[in-house]
Amino acid sequence: MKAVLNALILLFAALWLGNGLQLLILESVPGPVLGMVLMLGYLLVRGEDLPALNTVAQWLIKYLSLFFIPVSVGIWFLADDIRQQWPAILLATIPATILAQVFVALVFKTLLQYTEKRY
Amino acid sequence: MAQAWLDLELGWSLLTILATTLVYRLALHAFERSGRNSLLHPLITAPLVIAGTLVLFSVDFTRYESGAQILTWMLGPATVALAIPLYHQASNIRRHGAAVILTTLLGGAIAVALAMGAAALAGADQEVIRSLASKSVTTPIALSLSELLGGIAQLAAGAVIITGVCGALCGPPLLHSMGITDNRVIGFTLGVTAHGIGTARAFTIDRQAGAYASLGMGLTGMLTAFILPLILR
Repeated sequence: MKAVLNALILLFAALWLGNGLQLLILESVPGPVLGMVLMLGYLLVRGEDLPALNTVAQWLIKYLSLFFIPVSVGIWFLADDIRQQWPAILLATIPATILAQVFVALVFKTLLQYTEKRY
Repeated sequence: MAQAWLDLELGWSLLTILATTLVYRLALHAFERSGRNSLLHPLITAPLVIAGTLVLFSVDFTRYESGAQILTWMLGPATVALAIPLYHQASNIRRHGAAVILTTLLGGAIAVALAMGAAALAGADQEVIRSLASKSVTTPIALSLSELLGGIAQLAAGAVIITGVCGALCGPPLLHSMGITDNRVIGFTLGVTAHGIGTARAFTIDRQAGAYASLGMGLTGMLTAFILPLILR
């Protein structure tokens, strides 16, 4: 039980420090992302993971969609002038996603082959 | 009087959280029953049902949103939690360091440039174009990014969901048709281009594809959050 509390303390400490870091120095990076980097740094320095932190993180990530639903409901209530731009938005997102996939797959495949040949 | 008003507010907040969680639970059930068909992803079905309910009972969206804000607030801790799968993938990053990081940087840049360029060509407003910039990034990061970049949160959410569903649906058949059968490549591509929805799809292929997708999703989110605001602000 205490292990779960420690995991929560770590998560909130990283979030709070990330937030502070954004306010004080790196205002162009979102605070939660800085918190994520701090947490990653902490784990890398520590050199091993914490089972309770794994459990808490797994739960948060597994149900990430739930936390995103209130904002997503707003998609259906956008102002008229924005709503008129849906055709443009769809035209931009769908082909862009497909082209990006072709590009990423080819680049990663080539780079993997190259690095694996070297070792 | 003031006390009663506070209790009403609390009651409303609890009701919206209860209803949202309930609808999400049902949506997740339907998604799993469909064999994890990306078209029935809870991020498509649940908002649709809730939006319909709000219209039916003529409740303002802002009223719903303020009631459910604790849920939205949880995106902060969830973003920090993304560090943990990334840490578990550290061995893969060491093994394929250059390939992984170069692909993420190039892929992330191309995805953003293509989306913003196409929207500009299609005549979208500046605000809309900015909302599309964070479309390939995992949801919690996309929201805080679009806020920083001057986009519209709800529109950014829409772009993220469309990208995720389109990427998860098109990715595997598209890559197969290109003769790519390496599950590491398929997984990584899904993670970089289609964030959480793509990663969920990758886990239905196999564990290795899922692991590489988590890696791609985490790195893309992190690197985009650091680089994009420097370019677009």
